[in-house]
Amino acid sequence: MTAVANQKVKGKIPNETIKEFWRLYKKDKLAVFGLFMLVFFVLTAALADFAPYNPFRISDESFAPPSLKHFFGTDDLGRDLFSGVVYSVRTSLFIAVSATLLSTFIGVFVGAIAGYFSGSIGGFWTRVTEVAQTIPAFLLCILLVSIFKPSIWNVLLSIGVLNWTRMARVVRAEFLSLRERQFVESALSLGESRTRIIFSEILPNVLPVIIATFSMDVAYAVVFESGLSFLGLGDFNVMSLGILLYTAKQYLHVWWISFIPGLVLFLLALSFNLIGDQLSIIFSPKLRQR
Amino acid sequence: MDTAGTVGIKSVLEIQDLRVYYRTMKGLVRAVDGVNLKIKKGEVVGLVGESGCGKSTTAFAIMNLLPKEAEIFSGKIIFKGVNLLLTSERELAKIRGKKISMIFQDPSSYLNPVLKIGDQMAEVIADANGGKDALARNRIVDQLTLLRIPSPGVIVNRYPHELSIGMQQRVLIATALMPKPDLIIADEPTTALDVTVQCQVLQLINELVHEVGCSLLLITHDLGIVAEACDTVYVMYAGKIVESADVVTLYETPLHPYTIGLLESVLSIDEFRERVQTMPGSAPNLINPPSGCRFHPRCKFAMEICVQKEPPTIDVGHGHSVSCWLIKKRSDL
Amino acid sequence: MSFLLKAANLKKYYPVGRFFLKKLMLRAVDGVNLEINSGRIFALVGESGSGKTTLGKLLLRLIEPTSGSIFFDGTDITKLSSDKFKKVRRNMAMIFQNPFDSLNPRKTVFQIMRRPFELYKNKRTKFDIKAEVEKVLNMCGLSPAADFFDRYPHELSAGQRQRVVIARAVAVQPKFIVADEPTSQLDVSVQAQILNLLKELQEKLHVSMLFITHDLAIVRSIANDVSIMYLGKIVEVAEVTRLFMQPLHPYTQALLSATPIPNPRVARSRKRFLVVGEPPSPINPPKGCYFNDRCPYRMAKCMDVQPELNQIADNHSVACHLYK
Repeated sequence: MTAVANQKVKGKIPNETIKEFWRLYKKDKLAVFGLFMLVFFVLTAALADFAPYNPFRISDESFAPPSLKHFFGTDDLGRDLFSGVVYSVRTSLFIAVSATLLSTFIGVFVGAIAGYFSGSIGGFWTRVTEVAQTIPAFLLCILLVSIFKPSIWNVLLSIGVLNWTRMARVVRAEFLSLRERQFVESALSLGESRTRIIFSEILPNVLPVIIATFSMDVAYAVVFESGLSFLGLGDFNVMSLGILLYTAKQYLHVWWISFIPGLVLFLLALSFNLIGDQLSIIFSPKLRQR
Repeated sequence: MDTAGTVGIKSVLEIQDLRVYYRTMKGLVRAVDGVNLKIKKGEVVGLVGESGCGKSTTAFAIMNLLPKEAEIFSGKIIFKGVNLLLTSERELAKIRGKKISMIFQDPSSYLNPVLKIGDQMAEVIADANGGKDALARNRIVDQLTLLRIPSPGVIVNRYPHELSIGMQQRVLIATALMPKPDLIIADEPTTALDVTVQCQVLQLINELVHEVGCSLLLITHDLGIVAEACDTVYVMYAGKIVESADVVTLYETPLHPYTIGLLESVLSIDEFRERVQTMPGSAPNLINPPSGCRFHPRCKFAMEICVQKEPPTIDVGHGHSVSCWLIKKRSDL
Repeated sequence: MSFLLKAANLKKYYPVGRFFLKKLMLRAVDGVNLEINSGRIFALVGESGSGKTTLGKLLLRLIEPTSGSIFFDGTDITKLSSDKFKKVRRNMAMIFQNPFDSLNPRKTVFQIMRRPFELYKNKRTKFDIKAEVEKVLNMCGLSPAADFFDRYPHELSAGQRQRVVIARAVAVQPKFIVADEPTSQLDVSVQAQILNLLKELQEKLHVSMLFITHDLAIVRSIANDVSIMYLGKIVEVAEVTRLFMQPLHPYTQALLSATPIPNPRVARSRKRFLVVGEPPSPINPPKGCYFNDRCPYRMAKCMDVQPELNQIADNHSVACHLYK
């Protein structure tokens, strides 16, 4: 304990806490697997430009099965599937993470207000969340994207704007319980303004849960985006897993065209899910070590 | 040191050299490190100490209700001639709640919220009928009446949340007393109660214990309660018993520096203190306790031997024992 | 004698639903009149449900009263706008009960301590604030102060945490502090240290303190004046020595009798004044004196008329029909 105190790191996370966090995280082997998978995917996305072929490059080797020349085979237009998948991972990650950043921003904002304020203000925003939850987000997304031309930005925006309700719910719950805590009362008695209390006192305590929920939301966004593209609403100028699957719709009997993108999609979503799940467990009050 | 075969006839419970350690990720916590305790029939024994001294662990060890991280390293717990630590779980289950009852601090955690009071109390005297027959019912109502619970016939059909905390605690005490146990272990039974209710409950416990003739092990940090209710007192510090004596002797002529310091820190409605005496420092880390006498870093009489060796337990007469090198020096002279 | 703080007919009722047509109210604080002089420690004693914590929070305007006034330094603070009140609030502080919960677990001691200075002092430079924080921490027994700057609450013992809470309260030298059971969750030896600290600080800074507690033993040694609260009402107010010498209200006598004395000879020979039953519900208090259903001296009048707080002697008032 004294080692930590002597470290003089102002507000930053000391090494011991990181070690402790990793020790708790390691407990679930699947979660560790998920983490490695994610790291692998992120590297893939970063190094996508080193893919062997231009994914859009049409060749006359259509329907070629996986081989040393084409690791994942080719599709109906002879495009290399491996390069396609690699670029898709980058696109999917980009869209999913960006969209979730947007939805997190909205969700935290709404959740904080709904949770901190009692009475009409809090009540109003709680109702807003509840109503938004019941709206079939996917259908609305479809509607939005069809009205405005399908493009990577429209997909990103529509997911971001519609996927915030889980975050809002979670943040609201945290604020509801934290606002009763004595350190918040102390801050009030000191004369802190409400804004200050929300952002400076309560929010830092909600951060771990936000991070955990963020991960889960990204998993959801990944699948969401693929769904949209699968239905033909994605941006066909960009390669994404959903678009690959869209092509695969017509050629389900050609196993590598449908199975491989599907598997990658599954693993990508799964990795975020596993990580988010384990983070939720670590950050849940019952298991907080102290 | 007594061995199991030569336990005094009058002892209901005798703890010999009990050591309970907790395995934690930071190391081995020596929560109870060589505790000796004797409870005679009909005696009220107080086990006093501040938080973390190991008193609750001692209580739970008697009934083998320790969490899985805890391990009883050594020692004997002899209940009416039988070493409980060598008894099977099945036999222990027969003793728990029947021959040895426990009362805990927070009554609401120990009452099942979905069962009626009468049904829960019946579990202790359950027999073939499951305690639902008229005879059992009458016993329960009688017991509640004994504890001055108003309208016991009605209470029996109520749920725990319909009762105040004071009532809940009284129900638990009634439940503990019903099977006419030989020993009751009460771990901070009145800490959660208001002072007027605490007074009523303590008086009741006292009366009933004397009526039933059972022994009581009262675990608390409150020196006022101990003075009021106990016959004999054991003072615990950092996993060890530092002093034990009958209650009057302990309060009037304490010998161990910790006991003296503790008694000087306690305020009373009886007198005004301009400035309260305090002991420097705080309770030690039990993973790496101080060498020798565990109190030496805070003791103004500490000598060199206190740092080096653990003090022996010295009998200064009339049932008064102290574990201190200073006393040993004095008694040697 | 000029008083620093005066509460006049202060009430706080909470609506708790309906019983047919009647709206049910929980009367947490039911018409309290109080006067606290500057430089004195005023103890407020009561059991759970007496309303003492609610009263403490009302005086700081952490909760808004249902009716009544609170005069601080001559001004009625219940009528102030929140901007104007901010200036007054600088002179008030609160110390809470739970040392494990009063500090933000994600902030270091320094981050916690600098807020009062940032809010109320013009010294904005980090260097100045550091110096001030150091001074306060040292004053509260946390020295060397610099060692504590970067520690998180969970790295401190309960006693150290409570010292930080106290340091934060006295940081900008308020005139009035409400201490809500500041030692009830501490070990006996630590409690003694904290009580000494509070007494010391009170004398040094000439602060008025409202010391809320359920423990009369503490009151005897630390307070100058004491008031006893029962079910939202003040039943007796007196200077401390007077109260212990001559407790008038039956409830006060019951409290004193019920408080254990850490002296076995005295404890076993004392005459007990036992009171039966438990406090009635604050939603449906009895007609007349709230204590009447448990009072061994009950008269016919007690069941009908609520007694007012009457001054019996120079520094002793009681609300009881026995004393008129």
